[in-house]
Amino acid sequence: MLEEGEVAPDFTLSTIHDERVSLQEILDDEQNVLLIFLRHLG
Amino acid sequence: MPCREHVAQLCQHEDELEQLNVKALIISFGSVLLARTWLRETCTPFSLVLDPERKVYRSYGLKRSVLRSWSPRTLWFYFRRRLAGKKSHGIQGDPNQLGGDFIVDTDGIIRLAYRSRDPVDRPPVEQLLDVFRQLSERSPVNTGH
Repeated sequence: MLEEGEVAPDFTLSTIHDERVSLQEILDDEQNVLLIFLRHLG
Repeated sequence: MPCREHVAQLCQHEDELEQLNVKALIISFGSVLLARTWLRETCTPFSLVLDPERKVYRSYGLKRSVLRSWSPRTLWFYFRRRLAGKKSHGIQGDPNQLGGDFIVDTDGIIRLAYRSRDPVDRPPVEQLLDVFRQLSERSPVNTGH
């Protein structure tokens, strides 16, 4: 299982405004990233 | 605490997160319409992306669990909320999917991997901020603000 100290898997997903966002692009902008995975939209 | 409240708490620290050079990305798997409503009710400044097949969820080791999703702790939490008169938003999607929070530094390395044990388990906001503060001390970045 993925743990601290390991490389974060890259991904590309669409926003709710239909824009593509990739983890690597955010990192290329030299930003730290907080990923908040929801359970559901309740 | 549930996702909605966790994100709302983080949203209150939006300025500090920006100063710490943090991009917050909410990931869900519901419909676009529900996601827009959810974000508007919770924290508009954050971005929300959709992972409808939950491939990214799986790549980060986030699982589904019926037992954990309906644990006594979870049921008790929601029961107390109802007694306190707090609004129930209902279930929109798979109620057995578990969530989590991950911090990725500018080198693409995971600095915090918090997989929720149950629906009301989230890391304290201060714990998340502390990690970002430590990252900022290691590599101060001029955000231009």
